Amino acid sequence: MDARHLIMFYVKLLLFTFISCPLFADQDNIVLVTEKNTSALSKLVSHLSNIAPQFNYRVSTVENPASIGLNDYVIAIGAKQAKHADLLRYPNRIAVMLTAKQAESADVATSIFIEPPLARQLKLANLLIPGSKKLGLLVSNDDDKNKIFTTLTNAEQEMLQVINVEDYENINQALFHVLKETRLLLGHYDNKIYNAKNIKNILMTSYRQQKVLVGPSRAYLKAGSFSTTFSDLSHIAQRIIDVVEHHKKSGHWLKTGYNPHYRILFNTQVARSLNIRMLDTAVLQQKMGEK
Amino acid sequence: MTKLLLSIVFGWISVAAMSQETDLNGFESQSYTDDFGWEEESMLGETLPMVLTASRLKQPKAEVPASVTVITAAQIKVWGARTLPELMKFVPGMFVGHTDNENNASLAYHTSNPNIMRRLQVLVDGRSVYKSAIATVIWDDIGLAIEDIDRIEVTRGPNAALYGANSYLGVINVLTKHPEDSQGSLLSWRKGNKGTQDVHFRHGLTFDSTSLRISGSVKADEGFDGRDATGSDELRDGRKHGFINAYVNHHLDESSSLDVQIGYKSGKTEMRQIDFDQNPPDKTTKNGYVFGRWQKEFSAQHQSHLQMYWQKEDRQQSKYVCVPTLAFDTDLTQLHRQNSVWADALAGVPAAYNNYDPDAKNPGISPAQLEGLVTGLRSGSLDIDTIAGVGFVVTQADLDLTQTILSKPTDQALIFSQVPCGNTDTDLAEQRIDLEWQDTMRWSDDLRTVSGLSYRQDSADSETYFNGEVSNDTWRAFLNAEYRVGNWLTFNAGGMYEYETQNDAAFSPRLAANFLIDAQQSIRLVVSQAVRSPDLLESQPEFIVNVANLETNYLDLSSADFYQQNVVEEDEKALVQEKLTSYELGYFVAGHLMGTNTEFDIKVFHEEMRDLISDPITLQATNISNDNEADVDGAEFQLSSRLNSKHSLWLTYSYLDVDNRYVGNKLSAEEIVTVEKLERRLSSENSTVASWMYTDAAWSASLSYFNQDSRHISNPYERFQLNIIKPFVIAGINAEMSYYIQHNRQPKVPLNYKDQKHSTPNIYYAQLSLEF
Repeated sequence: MDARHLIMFYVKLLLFTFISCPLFADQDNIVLVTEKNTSALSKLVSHLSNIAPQFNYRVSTVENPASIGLNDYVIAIGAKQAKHADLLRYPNRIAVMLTAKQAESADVATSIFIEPPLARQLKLANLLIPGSKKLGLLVSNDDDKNKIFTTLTNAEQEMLQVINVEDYENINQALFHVLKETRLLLGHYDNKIYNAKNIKNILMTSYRQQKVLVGPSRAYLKAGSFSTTFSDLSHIAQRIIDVVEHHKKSGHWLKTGYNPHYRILFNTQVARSLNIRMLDTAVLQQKMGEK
Repeated sequence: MTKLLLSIVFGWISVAAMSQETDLNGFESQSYTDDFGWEEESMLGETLPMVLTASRLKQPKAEVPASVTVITAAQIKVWGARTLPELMKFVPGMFVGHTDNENNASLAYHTSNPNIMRRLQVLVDGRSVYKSAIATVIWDDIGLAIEDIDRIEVTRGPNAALYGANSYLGVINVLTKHPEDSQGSLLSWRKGNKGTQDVHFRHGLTFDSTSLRISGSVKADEGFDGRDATGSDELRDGRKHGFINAYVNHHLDESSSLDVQIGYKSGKTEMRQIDFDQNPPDKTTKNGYVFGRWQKEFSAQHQSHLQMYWQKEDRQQSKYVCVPTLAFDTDLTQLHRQNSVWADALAGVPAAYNNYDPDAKNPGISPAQLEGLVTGLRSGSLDIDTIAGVGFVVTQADLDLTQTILSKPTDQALIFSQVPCGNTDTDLAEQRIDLEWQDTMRWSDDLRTVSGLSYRQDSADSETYFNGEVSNDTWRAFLNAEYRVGNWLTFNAGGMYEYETQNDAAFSPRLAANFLIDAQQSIRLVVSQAVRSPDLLESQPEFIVNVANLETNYLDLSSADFYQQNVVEEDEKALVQEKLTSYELGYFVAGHLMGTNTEFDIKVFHEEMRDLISDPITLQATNISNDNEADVDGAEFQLSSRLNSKHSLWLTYSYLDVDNRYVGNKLSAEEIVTVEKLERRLSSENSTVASWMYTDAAWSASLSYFNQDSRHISNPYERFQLNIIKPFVIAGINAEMSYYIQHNRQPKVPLNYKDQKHSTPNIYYAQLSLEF
C-alpha cells in the first residue's frame, strides 16, 4: 500500500472510531431484582423497553443473579427485595410493587406504591355515585384510621363514615354499621379486612343492600367490587422511568408515593345489575383532573 | 284512545329529554383471565373468589322481561304505610278494595271482583301465602312486619312461567331483610284513631357464621265505621292479630348456606252479623310455618337451591243462629235442587211474615196474604198459573214437593213462628307442603337458564265446606332461558308445566324480547299466558251448613243441614281454569333528566281473560260457572326520580278500558248486569298516584296523592296522605318519632260497599321507634 492510501485508511479509521464512539459509550443499566422471573415481570421489562429504549434492562433472580454495577438503577420488586440486605450497597435503589405500609420499613431511595391512593378512590366514588350520604370506610384499628387520615384533607375526611372493626365483635357487625347510613363502601388496601375470607361477606352484604364496593384494587373487581383506579404494568413502567430520568437530570429522587399514572376500571356486570349508569372513562379521568 | 295516545307521546318526550352520556362501546370491557394475576399472587398472597357471579347477579332492569315495580324499605318507611295493601296503592294499575263479608282487603291488578282476592300470587321470601282451600290471600294472616321488609317486587302482569298457576294477574313478591342486615334491637309503638294500636319488636344478632333475626308484632284497628256512622264506629269489623317469627341464616361452607324460618301467628277478625246470625261470627285464626332453603354454588356459573316449607292454619268461626224450621227440611233441599228460585222464596216466607212493615216504602206481601198463600199450597189448590201470576215459574213436581214440605207441621202457624236456634261453624284447617329444586346456570356469556321442579300438596279439613278432608297434589316443571344477542337484544323464553290431581294440566308460556338501546334503555315485547286453577272449594265443594243443638222444632231434629247447599260430585266437576293471555309493549329508561336521576317505565297492553269464575262459592251461588270474559286494554307508566340528594318523586298513572261480558245462558238479564258490574268493581278508567319524598339527616317526609275516577266503579277515590319522621337521640339510643295523617277527599263515598266508610275523613297515627 502506498503512503497516500495508508493515510486515508487511518483517517477513515479515526473517523469511524469517533462516529462509533457513542455506540460504545456506557448505557445506564436498570436491573430488576426479584425472587423469580414471571410472565408479569417479562411484561414489565417489555413496557420499560418500549417507553425508554435508551436504558439497558437486566433481570436478576435468585436462580440467575445478574451482575449489578454501583451506578445501576436497582428496581426492587416487592417488599421482600426492598428490604434485602444484599441490595443495600447500591445507592440507586427504587422499590416498586409494595404497599405504603410495607414501604415504611423499606431501606430504599424511593418507592412507588402499588395501591391507589384513597383520596383518588374517594374522588372516583363521588363521581360515580353522587349523593348526600357519606362513604363508608372500614378500618382495622385507630392507628389504621389515623394513618389513612394523614393522606386526606379535612374535607375528604368529612366525607367518610369510618367504622373500626376492633370496636365490634366481628366483621359482620362492623359491616352492618358501616353500610347503615352510607351510600357505598370505600375499600382500602388492608388485607386484614379485604381478604379471601371476608370478601364474600362484604360483597354479598353490600350487594343485598344495593350498595357497591369501590376499590381496594383491581384484584377485587373480579370478586365483585364495582370500580377502582389501577396502575397496571405499563403505568408502573412509566413511573419507574419518571423516577430514573428525574434522578439522572437533577440528582434528586422523586418523593416516595403513589403512582400518578392509572386507569379507571369497572365491573360492568355489577354496574348493569345495580342499574348504575357509568360515565365514559375518558370523561371520568378528565373530571378526576389527573392523567 | 286519546288518553292512550297521550301516554305514548308523553313517554317518547321523556325519551328525547334523557341525556345519553355513554353508550355500550364506552364501557371498559373486563377480562378476568388476564395478566393481572400478579397482584393477587405477589401482593395479596391468595386468590380472591368470584363472589358476585353471573348466576348471583340480578338482571338489569332494562333486561327484565316484564313490568316490575320495586318498592324499597326506604320508601316503605317514608310513606308511613302500616299494611301491605296500603303499599300496593303506590303500584300503577293496582286497585285496593275490601271484601263485603270476609273483612279482608282485596287487591286486583287492572280489574276483578272485590269479593275475591284470588287472582294475585303473594309470596314472602319464596313461600306462597295464597290459601288453597278457598283461593284468597288474607292479609292479616300473613304474619309479617312492615319494618322487616327489604323490598317488594310486584310483577305487573301474568308470571305463571316462573311462579306457577294463580300468578294470574300478577305476583307480589315480598322479600324480608336478611338477618345480617337486621342487627341490634328495634322497638316501636304506634297509636292513632280508628283504634289503631301496633307494637313491634325485632332483635338480630350474628355469631360465627350464623345470623338470626327474631321479630314479633301485635296490630289492631277498628276497621270501617259503617254506612250511618256519624262520629263513632258503628260497624263491627275490627281486628287484632299478633305473630312471632324467626329467620336464621347459616353459612355451611364457602359455597353453601342454609336459611330457616319459623313463625306463629294468632288473631281475631271481627265479622258483622248477617242473615240468621245471633252473635257476631268473629274469625279466629292460628297459623304456623317452617321454611328451609339450602343454597349451593357449584361454580361461578352454576347455582341451585332446594327449598321446602310446611304451613298449617286453623281458622275457627262459630255462629249461634236462629233459622226457621222450614229451612232444615230435607225436602226443601231437594226442591232447591229442582227450582232454587222457588225454594228460596218459600224459605223466605217466615222472615217476610215476621218482618212485615206496612209503613215501609215497599212493604211486600202482607201476613194475611202469606197465610192465604201457604194455606193454598198446603191444600194443593194453587196451580202453576196462579204461582206464575205472582212471578214464579214452577212445575207440578215443584208444587207437589211444596205441598209435602208445608204439610209437615200440624199447626200451620208454626211455619211462620217457629225459629229454633242452634250452633254452627265454618271452621277450616288448611295445610300446605311444598318442595322445590331450582337451578340457575350460565352456559356462556350469552345464555343463562333458570329451571326447576316442584311438588306441592294442599289439603283442607272442614265439615262445612268439604264434609271432611280434601287435598290436591301439584307437580311442576319450569324453565326460563335468557339469551343475549350481542349488546342489543335479550330473548327470554320460558314456561311452566303443571299437573294437578284436581284440575287439568296446564302449560303457561312466556316469550319476551328486550331490545337494548343501551345498557339502561330498552323496548320490550312480552307475550305470556297464565291460568288460575279452581281452588279446593271451587273444584270439590261439599258446602253444607249443619246446625247442631237445635231447639225444639216440628221436624224433631237435634241437628240438621241448612237447605241451601253447594255440592259437586266428582263426576260433575265442571269448573275449568281461568285463562289469561297478555300482550305487552313496554319501554324502560334510566338516566339523567334535567339534572335528576330518573327511571321511567311505560307500557301499553292488551289482556284477554277467559273462563272467568266471577262468583265466590257461597250457599246462594247456584250457577257458578266459567261463563265470564274480559278484555282489558290500556297503558300505564311509573316514574321514579331522584331530584337531588334530598328530594324524590314517585309518579304513576294507569288508563284502563275494561270490556267484560257474561257469555253463558243461565242468568237472567238482571243477573247478567250484576255479574258484569262486579268484575269491574275493583277498577277505574284513570288512576294516578303522585308522591314527593324528602330525606335528610334531620328529618324525612312524604306527601302523597291518590286519585281514581269512577268510570268503572260507582265510587271515585281521592286521598292525600302525609308522613313526617324526626330522628333524635335519647340517652344514647337512636329514636324516631313519626306522624302520619291520611285525608279522604270523598268521605261520603264508601270504598266498595255501603258500610265501607269512616265517620271522619282523617285517619292518623303517631309512632315512636327505638333502635339500640
